Formats: sequence, structure tokens, C-alpha cells
Amino acid sequence: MANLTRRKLLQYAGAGAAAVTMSELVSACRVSSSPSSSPSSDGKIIDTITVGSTSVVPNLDPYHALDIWSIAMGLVGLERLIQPSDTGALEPWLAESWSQPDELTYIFKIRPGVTFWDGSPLTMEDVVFSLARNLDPASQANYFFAQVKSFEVSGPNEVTAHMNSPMPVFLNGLAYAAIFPKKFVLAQGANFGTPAGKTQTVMGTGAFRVTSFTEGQGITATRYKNYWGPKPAMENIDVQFITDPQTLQLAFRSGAVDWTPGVPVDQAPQWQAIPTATVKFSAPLTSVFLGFNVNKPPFNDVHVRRAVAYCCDNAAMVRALLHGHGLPATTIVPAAQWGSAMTEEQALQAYAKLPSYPFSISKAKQELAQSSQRNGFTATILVPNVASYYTEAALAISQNLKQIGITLNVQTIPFTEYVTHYRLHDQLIYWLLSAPDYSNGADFPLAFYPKAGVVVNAYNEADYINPKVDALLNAWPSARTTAEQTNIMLDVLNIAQQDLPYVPLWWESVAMAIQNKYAYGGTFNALYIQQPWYNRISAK
Amino acid sequence: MSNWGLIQFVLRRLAIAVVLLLIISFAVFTLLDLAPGSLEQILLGPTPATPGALAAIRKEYHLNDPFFLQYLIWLKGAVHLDFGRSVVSSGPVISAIGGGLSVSLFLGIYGFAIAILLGVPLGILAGVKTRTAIDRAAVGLSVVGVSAPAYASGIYLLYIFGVWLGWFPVYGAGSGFLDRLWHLTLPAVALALTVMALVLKLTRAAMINALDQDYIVFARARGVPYRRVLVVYGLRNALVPIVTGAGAILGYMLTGAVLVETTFALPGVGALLVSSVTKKDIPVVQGVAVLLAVIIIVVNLLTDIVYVLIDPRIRFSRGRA
Repeated sequence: MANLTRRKLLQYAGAGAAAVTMSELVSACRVSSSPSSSPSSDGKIIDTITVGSTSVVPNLDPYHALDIWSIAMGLVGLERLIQPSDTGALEPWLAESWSQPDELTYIFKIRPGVTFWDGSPLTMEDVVFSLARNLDPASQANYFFAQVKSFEVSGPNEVTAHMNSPMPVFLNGLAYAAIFPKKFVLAQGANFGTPAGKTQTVMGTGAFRVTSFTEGQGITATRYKNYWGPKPAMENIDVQFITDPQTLQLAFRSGAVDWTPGVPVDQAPQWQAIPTATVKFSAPLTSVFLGFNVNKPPFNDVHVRRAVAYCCDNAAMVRALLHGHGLPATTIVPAAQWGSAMTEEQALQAYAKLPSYPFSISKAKQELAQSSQRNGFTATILVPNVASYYTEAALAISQNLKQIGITLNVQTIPFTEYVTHYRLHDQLIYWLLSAPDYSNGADFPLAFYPKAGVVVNAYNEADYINPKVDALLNAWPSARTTAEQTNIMLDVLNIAQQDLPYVPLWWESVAMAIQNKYAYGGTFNALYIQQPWYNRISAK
Repeated sequence: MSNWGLIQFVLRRLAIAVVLLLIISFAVFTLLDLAPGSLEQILLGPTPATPGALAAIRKEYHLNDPFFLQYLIWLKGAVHLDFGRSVVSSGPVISAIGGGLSVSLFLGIYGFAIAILLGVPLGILAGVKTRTAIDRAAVGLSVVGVSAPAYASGIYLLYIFGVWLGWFPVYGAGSGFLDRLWHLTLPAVALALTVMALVLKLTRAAMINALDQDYIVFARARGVPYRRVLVVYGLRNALVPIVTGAGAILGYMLTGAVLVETTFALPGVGALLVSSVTKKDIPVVQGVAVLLAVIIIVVNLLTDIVYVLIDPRIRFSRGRA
């Protein structure tokens, strides 16, 4: 699958997006000595793990490349201050603890004794430099630092971040700021992070030292002997870019690839049939849904939108196209995305109380008959060519719509072209997909529903404005407990399901495959790209 | 064939080449500008962008300048062999192309060698023994080869020789001469299969035509040994059309192997071109377009020089027979 859109994120106008309640603020001080995903200390050392990447990594500096693959593969050697656990809680990495004395200040205690691959020590100046360079608007990661005023060295092992206004998901966003040595970055200039074969263009503190980065080909990394953290179970990591899914499968079959997190979910049965493969699926966290421009005909009439919703047979699409590796969606927020607030089952129970539109052609006809488009109409939907089953699903929906008199033309276009359209908000109906940024149910509503997102380059594709929803979203940061936060978001989803600016289709899983001779510890988390995933791989 | 004639010929061709390159680069630049998608969005990546960031990018990449001026800025750099930096990777375009070129040259020449070393002898055989079982079998097999799309035949080869028999690696270009030879064998075969029929039938037709000439009959009548008739009288005269075809095929092998490159995960020039067009990575597309044009021009020039070597009737200068 090509670079799945990262996710649409917080309105930079700072309409108060909170992912941390007051009680969590107080308990934000954490002390720990090593990352939670520690390698198994069974002792058996693997020589090389070959990773199959289905996308070419263009650049290892998040400043220039923030796509899933560049972030995930760069993680072998480039570390951050904080990492998410499988439940979404934030855990120490280079920062061994942090505190938030007030809404606008974060203090990080950086662990001592960390060195870069060339042996030079990690200094606080390096940390501040690495974080502050993302304040440059040209950095792709700038979005996650939108409310930051400055970073400063505040002690021998301490760095402080000052905000202009509260930004509760700031800590989550630190996943996108890798820590580099200032001297090296400045010396490399424009070449930093670029693929230059065996010439070194990147330097980090991580467990593996990048030894080569070849354009269009792959990344090789070898274990850094003086790494501060636990010794990994392998000596070398070899990332190979194999963009053709058939070739990736054959490479895996022949034993040339050991692990890949890029198994296309619609090809899962083929992979599961490989005798040497163990296939694992994440919780369904990628949300796929339709969007409408709610201000322009023909979709400015809620009856028309409901008619479309009734024509979507979500359960059938999950069964036939995803082979069951997903769930039919009743809202745009995956039931598994609520982290510690609700389990997936609890979320599904809560969702059962929300307005829903189970597949029914007769109800669709009824809705259309009540609408301003009684005689049907023609529209075009642009689908990105990242996965053939998106086009197949759009065609299935189109076939159902034909039965009620709506002609929906499905056009599959390259991903870059698709991105241009949804950024410009220039369509009447959209095919939308959203991968999670973190485990919190507020993630997607904060992007797709608020008034502040109704601008070009922001993610309220539907141009949907509802003052009640905005009031709820603005009240959310000051909610005192997690339960209150959750209820506010459920209220938002309730209104959204009535207004239907977006029609939820399904939540899909991400799939990985690993050779049977290796073990992948724990469950496969869709947020693996923010964790030292190599620590989960060990020899059996 | 005079040396001065040769030099004049090459100089004339180089002058034409420069004009061609200007036209091609300008045409590609224009088409890319017209293509959907926007450069800024690619540079800004997947996160929402502030107006300040957009403005900064527009300034740095001269997107506010008039179209023709943007082209001239590119041209100025290109003349100094500075093709700028890739929009996607930020690395120099030259190094992206250089990496791709080394793989594509190896693959193209390897595939060409296989196509010629198999296709020409088989074509001669078919041409000499027309309408026999050998002829029909050779032509039939090659047509099967050319009818199967490179993608499909590539996957078959991969499965049989890479996975099932395990004789060859399944992907990648390898490093070092021998390793690369091993890695690129299956892709080269896949590539050769796509043009084998052409080589074979071209050779066959040229041989039939040559063997039909009166001087062949006369040579046989004079008692010249059959083998000598075949090679010196027959093949030598059939070579001009074969060389023409081979030149075009070499050009295609070096520039058009994108399906094979994708199937075998080879970081060649074809795959680079397709991905940079999709991502609207203008500096890379311009650089690759110029490179491909240069390759075709050089191959055509070499073909023309080879003509003179094999056929004394062809001269470089005009008018002198």
C-alpha cells in the first residue's frame, strides 16, 4: 500500500484540542529506565533481519518525509523523546520523565549517558536544536509544533518547551521529532537525511547505525555497540523497498524477507496460506468513510446523504474485500481507538445507541423521495489508487446507488493527485481514509468536524459547520475526567451521525507477516511506526 | 570511409542532438506543468500546511515566476550539469539518476545481449530452414514470449527459478559485478523475452531476403562452400536491417524496462521516471527525460557508425557513392 495519508490533525488555529485531562496532567511525571518494548533476553542473536517495505523511503529526516514508511524505518536508528505503548499511554524514551507545571510549559528530563553513533555525547543543545528546527514552517513536522513558542536548555539534563497556547496533544506529536546532533546536521546542510548510498547522511542515538541508504533500493543498519538501551536481538537490519505486492510475497516465500508490516489486507488469505509465515493483524484502526460537501447540491440535503448511507453495505464489503479483517463502521472513530477510556467492546456498545443506517435499498429510496433530488443525479467520486479494494468498494456502492437513480462515476487516480483535491476541498463527494495518530477517540473528530477545519489544507472536507459540535469540541479540553471527555465526544458523534457530513464505511486492520522461525512479541499495534518495533522480533 | 567524413558526420549529429534535447526538455517541462497535482502539496507532505509554509515553498521553487522563466532557470542549471534537487528526497537529482542509470545500463545491456545471442542465431536458423518444423517452432516460441506481458512472464520466472528452484534471487539488483550478474539474470531474461520475437523475425526476414539474391545462387553455382555462402554472402548482407532493429531494441532496453524493474524491485531509471512523474517531482523528471533522450541519441549514432563498418556502400558524406 502506498503512503497512506497520515492523519489529519489538529486545527492550527488552536481551538483547544485536549488529549490530556487535568488529572492526567498532574500524574504526567514518569520515571522509568528503559522503553517498555524491551527485547527478549533469551540470548539467541539473529544475524540479519530483512524487512520488506512496500514503499520507497525518500528521506530519513522527518523534516522532509513524514510518511508512514520513512518514520517507521527511520526508527531503527533515530530516537525520539517519547514513545506510545500499545494502549496509547506515553512512555519514556530519550526523555526519562517529564512534567507539566502549567498548561503552557513542559519540562523534560533527558536520560544521561546517551551517545550518537560516532561516540559523541547527546547534549541538551542537540535536543533543543532537533526540536526547534521543526518550528520552521518548511518542516513537514511543523504541524505538530504549531503552538510552540520556544525550546530551551533549562538544566544539565533538562529541556523546557514553552507554548503560545495550550496544545494537549503536543506530547503525542513528539513522535515526529527525531533527535540529531546539531553539528552533524549543520555540516551536512541540504544533504542531511538524503539517500547517498554508503556515504553517511544521517546520525542518531538509536540501537542501529545506518550504514547505507540507497535511493529506491533500501536501508541497511548495523547494531550500535555503545547504545544506551537494551541490546536488540539482531545484529543487522536490512530494509528493502519492494513496491510490487506480488514480488514482496514471492520474496517472503523464498525466505529473502523476514518481516513485513505491509501485507495488503485484501491479500491476507494468500499470505496466510504461505506455510512459513505467521500473519498478525492489528486492531482495526484505519477509518474509511465517504465525505460530502454539505453546502453545495446535490449533497447539501441530509436526506440525500442518508440515502447514500443506506446504499452502503458495510458488512458485506468487510467480508468480501477485507476478508473479515476489519469492522463495519458506525462512526468515523474506530471502536478500538479509545485507548484507556473504553475498550473496543464498550465502544461498540456505546455506538449501538447512535443513529445508524444499516444497508437497505428501500429505505434509501424513501430518503431520496423526501429529498430535493427526487429524480436522481450524477456525481463523480475520486478514489486513490493505493489499494484496489477501495475502487471495488466504490464500484459496489455505485451499483447500489444506481438502483435508486443516482449515477456515481468512480475515478481512480494517483495518490498525489488525490491529495491535491482533498486539500483544496474542491469535490462534492469524497473517498476518505484516516490512519490513527494516537490512541484517543478525539483524534478524528478534532480534524473532521470543527469549523476551524473548513479551510484549504485543513481536514474538515465536508465544510461542515455545526455550532453545537464546535461548542462541545471547545468544552472537551476542560473536561475534568476521562469519562466526561468520552461522553462529550460521543455527543459529538451522535450529532454527526444525524447530520451525516461523513458516511462511515469500515475500520480496517493493518497486517504483518513474519517468518515462522522468528517470533513477534505481543500484539501487532497499528502504531508500530512510533515504537522500536525491532525489539519485538526475536529468534524462537 | 574518410576520417574527416566521420568527424563531420558526428559533429552534425551532435548539433542536431542539442536541438532535440532542448525541444524534449521544454516539452516535458510543459506537460508536467499541465499535469494534475501540485508541487507544493508534495513538499508539504501529509500534514496540514500554514500559509507561511506555502509561501516559503513557492518562493524557494520559483513557483511564482512566469513559466518560461522557470524553464530557463532549470536550463541554466542543466547546462552546468546541475539538475537541482529532488522534490521528494531532497537529494541531488544527479545522484538519484546515477544510481538508477547503473542498474538500467547493466540490465539493458544484459537483456540486449541475451535477446541478440538467442534471437539472431535462431532467426538465421529459421531463415535458412524456412517452412520447416524448426522454423515454425522458433517463430512460435518467440511469439509466445512477446505476447506475454513482461509483468506476467517476470512473475512466472520469479516463481519457478526464484522461489521453487531457488536458483536466483527474487528481487534487488545486487552489488559487485558477479552478484549483479546473478541478480539481474531473471530480469534480463524477462526483458529479452519481450523483444525476442522481433529480433528473430527481423533476422529471419533479412536472411530470407538476402538468400534470395542472385549472387547467392551464383556463388553456390561456383562451388563456394555452403557455410561461407551463408555467413559471408548471406548474413553480411542481411546485417543492415538487423543492426537497425538491434539499435532500436537497445534503445528500448535501456529506457523502457519499467515493468521489469517494478516486478523485480530494481531501482532503475524506468521506475524512477514513473514514480517521479506520479509525484510530480519535476527536477527528477526533467533530468531523467534528458538522460533518456541522450541514451537514444547515442544509440542511434552508434548504429549509424556501425552501418559504415559493415556496408562499404554507405558513406557519411553526402553524394559520394
